[in-house]
Amino acid sequence: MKKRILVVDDEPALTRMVKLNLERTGNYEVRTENQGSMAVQAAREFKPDLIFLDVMMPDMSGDEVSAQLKEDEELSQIKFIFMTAIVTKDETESMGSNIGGNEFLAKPVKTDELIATIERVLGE
Amino acid sequence: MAWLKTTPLLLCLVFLAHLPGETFAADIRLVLTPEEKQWLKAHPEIRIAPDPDFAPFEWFSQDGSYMGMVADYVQLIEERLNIKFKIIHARKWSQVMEMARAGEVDVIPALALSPQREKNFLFTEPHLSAKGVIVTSKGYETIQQLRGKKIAVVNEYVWDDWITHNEHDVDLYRVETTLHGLELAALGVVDAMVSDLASVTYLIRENGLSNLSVVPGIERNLELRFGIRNDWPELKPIIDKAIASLTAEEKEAIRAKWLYLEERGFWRNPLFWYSTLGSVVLLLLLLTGTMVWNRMLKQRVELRTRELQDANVKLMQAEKMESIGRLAAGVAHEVKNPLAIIQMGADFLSQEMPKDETTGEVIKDIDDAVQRADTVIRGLLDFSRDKKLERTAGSINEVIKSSLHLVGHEMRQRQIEVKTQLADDLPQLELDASKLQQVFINLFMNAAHAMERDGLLQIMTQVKTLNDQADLSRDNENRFKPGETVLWVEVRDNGPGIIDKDSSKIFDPFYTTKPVGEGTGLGLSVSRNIINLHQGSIDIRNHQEGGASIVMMFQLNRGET
Repeated sequence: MKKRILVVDDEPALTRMVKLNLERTGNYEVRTENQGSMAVQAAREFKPDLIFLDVMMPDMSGDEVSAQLKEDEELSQIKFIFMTAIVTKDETESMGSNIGGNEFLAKPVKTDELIATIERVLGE
Repeated sequence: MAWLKTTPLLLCLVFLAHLPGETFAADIRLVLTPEEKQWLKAHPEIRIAPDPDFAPFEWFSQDGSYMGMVADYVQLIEERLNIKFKIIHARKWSQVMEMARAGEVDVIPALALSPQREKNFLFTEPHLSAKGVIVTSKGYETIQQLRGKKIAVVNEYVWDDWITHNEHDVDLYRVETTLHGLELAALGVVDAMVSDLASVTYLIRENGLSNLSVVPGIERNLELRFGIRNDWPELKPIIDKAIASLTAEEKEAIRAKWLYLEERGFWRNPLFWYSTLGSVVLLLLLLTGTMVWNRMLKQRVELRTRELQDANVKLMQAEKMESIGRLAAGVAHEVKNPLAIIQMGADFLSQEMPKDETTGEVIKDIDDAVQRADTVIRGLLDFSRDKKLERTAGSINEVIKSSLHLVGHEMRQRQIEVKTQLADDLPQLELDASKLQQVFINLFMNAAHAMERDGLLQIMTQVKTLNDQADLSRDNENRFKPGETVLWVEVRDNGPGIIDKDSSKIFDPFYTTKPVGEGTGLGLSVSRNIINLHQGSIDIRNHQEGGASIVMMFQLNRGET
């Protein structure tokens, strides 16, 4: 059974690239969302196994998105991988309780690395 | 005991102290008795024998002229009596005395009275006097000190008589002239010379004798009188009347003439030199004092300038880092997203394209280019972020004090009152003082910018145990456990506080409430980074009494406390 992955980033080109690369492996079903504020609704509908979440988005930060999802009992078991452009991993530790401790990827990331991380997080 | 080295001033003061002062009628003949006039007529030749070498009283010049004060007295007396003395030129004083005893001389015009001489001479009242002095190069001050010593006197001068009859214990060394005696004293051949102040001073000055001290250690004064052969008693009252007729002006003129009173000049006066020296010393002291004071002022100004420059450099450095950080973060955000797209696009294409050598190389070139660009961005970010601390054991209070010092000028300019309440029993922290200073400067400046009028900035430090929920809530990152003891630092201002909406974003990069150009918005974000690198927390919120309150908590070194 294919794993469901929700990709949330304000860059449409990037979400499309992630979707293309993941789906062409044949192992994943991917839905993309380009607004942070739409992510919670999309998660309710799509019920992903994992959310691939940009930290910095204009309307709602990745931190806030994950906080809202955790409030929803049905969605609270969803795993996260955060991804951001402006900070390095060391610095995310201090960014916020919802980001610190979760899996983190700094852009740009290679597809191989992305898939390896997804597999590791889903295997936990 | 006052020591006098060739003292013309003293000479002026003591010399001629006992001159008869009465002024008689100008013409002495009016008061001479007929018998006296008759006597003068009967004795047309009166022989007088001056001392040939007794300056400044009397002496013979090179050409044999009779010179000196006594010579002038003699001339005045000649005029008063309308007579002419016959001057006898003796070679030396002892010869004068010999001639007198032999009856070859009638009058000696400058003779001191002594019991011995009274046997041979009749003495008029004194016309000149001078103090007796000891002249020595060996430091003697009294006649008593000269006992057993070799003392020079001029042969048959009154000092010869006086010492012979009053001081039996000295070794008298008789010389022919005062100058010779002085030279012997200067050379140390004799221990001292006894003479009178006037001749000694005169000779020392004229001959440039330099190492002699002149001290008034002799009780006796030299009083010069006319000595008259004792078988001529008629002449004594005549000369006494003549002396008494001399006016004060005449005597003063003589004194001035021979003692160089007018020519002496103020520079010969030791008082002048003492006061000049004193003034110079005083001036030098004043000058030195002024210079020292100037120097101290200059140093203080330099120190203060350096401190201000230092503060300025630190503020500029902090602002520069903020700017670079802002630029780096902006560039990172704008570049890293496209890089991610390119990277994933290349990944996708590498799977879709035919697997030939050229395609592989193109894809690899794209990968490398993306990595290169990413490395540059990472470098820029690393540079702008304080990721490393140089920690040493230090006092947070000291860091706060030095930061306050650096912003002191700004606070004074904005008339902001600063109150500190720093606990003095704080344990030391492992801290990077320079980075924390950057944090505090940033917080203080933010507070200063927020306050407008009657600003009050308060800084408090203490050791606090986190029991209270309110206290715990200020650890917004859940670093500390309930009941844990922390080092608590609070910075409060009385400005408008923060707008509620802002409080969650206030530590975000680029967040700022300042007008464009005044702040970069990275100050608090950088500050939080630095505090976090110290394993501390920082929280900002509005205080219930108004104004903003920032609380920082630091972990205590448990092993040490």
